[in-house]
Amino acid sequence: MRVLKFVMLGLMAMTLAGCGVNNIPTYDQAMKGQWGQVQNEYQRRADLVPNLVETVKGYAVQEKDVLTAVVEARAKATSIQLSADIVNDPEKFAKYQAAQGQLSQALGKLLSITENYPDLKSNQNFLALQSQLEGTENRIAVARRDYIGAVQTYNTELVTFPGRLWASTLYASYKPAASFSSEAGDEKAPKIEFNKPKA
Amino acid sequence: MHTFRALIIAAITVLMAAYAFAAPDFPALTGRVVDQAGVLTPDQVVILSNKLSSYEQQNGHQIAIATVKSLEGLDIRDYGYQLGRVWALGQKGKNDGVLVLIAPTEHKTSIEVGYGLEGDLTDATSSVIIRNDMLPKFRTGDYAGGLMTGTDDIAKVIGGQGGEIVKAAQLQQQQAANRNQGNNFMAALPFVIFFIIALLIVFNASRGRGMFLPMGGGFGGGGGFRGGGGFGGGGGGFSGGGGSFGGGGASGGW
Repeated sequence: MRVLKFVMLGLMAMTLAGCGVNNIPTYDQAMKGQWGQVQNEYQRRADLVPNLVETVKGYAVQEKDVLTAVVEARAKATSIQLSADIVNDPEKFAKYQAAQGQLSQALGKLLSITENYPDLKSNQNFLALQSQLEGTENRIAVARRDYIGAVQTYNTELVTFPGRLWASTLYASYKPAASFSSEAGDEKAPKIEFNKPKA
Repeated sequence: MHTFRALIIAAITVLMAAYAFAAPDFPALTGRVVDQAGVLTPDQVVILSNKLSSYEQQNGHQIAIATVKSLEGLDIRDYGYQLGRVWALGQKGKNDGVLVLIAPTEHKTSIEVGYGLEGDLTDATSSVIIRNDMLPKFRTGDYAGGLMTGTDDIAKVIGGQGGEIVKAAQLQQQQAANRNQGNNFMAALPFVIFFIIALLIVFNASRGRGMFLPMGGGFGGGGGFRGGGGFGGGGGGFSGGGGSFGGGGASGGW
């Protein structure tokens, strides 16, 4: 009799798993993992900035405003204290996104003025930094997109059947996660306009 | 009722998301070299494939080459990482694949680096390889030549010899700088001559005599490139090992 009970319990657990009882925590972990990746890439970009600013300074010291804007935007972006629950805090999330967007814009401006300094443009150190920055921007775009996809899966699971049942019973503490918006276009690194060579 | 409405909303969201992230029509992974754009000869495809295959035997890293007819409106980096994921280049868990992508129509090329190789084949190194090995040859239409040297250097870098390539690039820059200095002198030469002539005219005029001055000038240039050709054996089946890509690498245009 006892054995039968265990077998029944096991069977029930299996059917439950089939009903997606584990989906919400699984998707939550996947989403948080992707979020970590996004943060990594933004951090990588922030780490590149001081070197980039120093290199540009050596050639274009008169572009003080642009350089200061980059330094300030970086300081602001890195000053935001990140905790794991930022994904469940839309307000904080929006702030983070805005700060990173500002840094994107400042960096875009910095790269566009470098077009005016041929010596800088042919400096190996600068070229290396520039390609690293481009690669990082690209990684950020990929990580953001992966994160958006993971949030979509997770949030959908929270509100759809049968996930909705589990969310309202077992997983009441799991809240929908915030995602990136691209409506304002603030996050996209501005396209670099190449100045026409002066005739 | 609530659940039902939420279900419909979610379904619509998912559909919209699927539409927004609609993947381009990627070429099938038929071998290590997929020449959809048709810019390589069959011989070149075989040679390159054999090369890439021997690299994989040496160090286990999968390198593949793709030429595509169209990027379908996407940025090349955007297209590239997705193609790398679809093809799943590199070993599963190691993510050590490299994809060299060329879009001759858009005049764009990129090197997509799997997560696992980002530390060796950095963005900066990828960029140097594109700028120094590939773009100069692509500009002349020598896609095979650019791919030969490009993949050679990629293999060197992921085999642990990346420093040499960066050193070579620095040397090249120095030489270019030296050349420029020479050019500066050559550029100044006409002005020097003009100045001397002007002096002579003034000098002659002041002595009340005319004088005919011959003018001359000249320039020269040179250049050349070579293509590759040859023979090779057949290739076996090739498939991705399950690796993934996260946007590492670099791109360039010509």
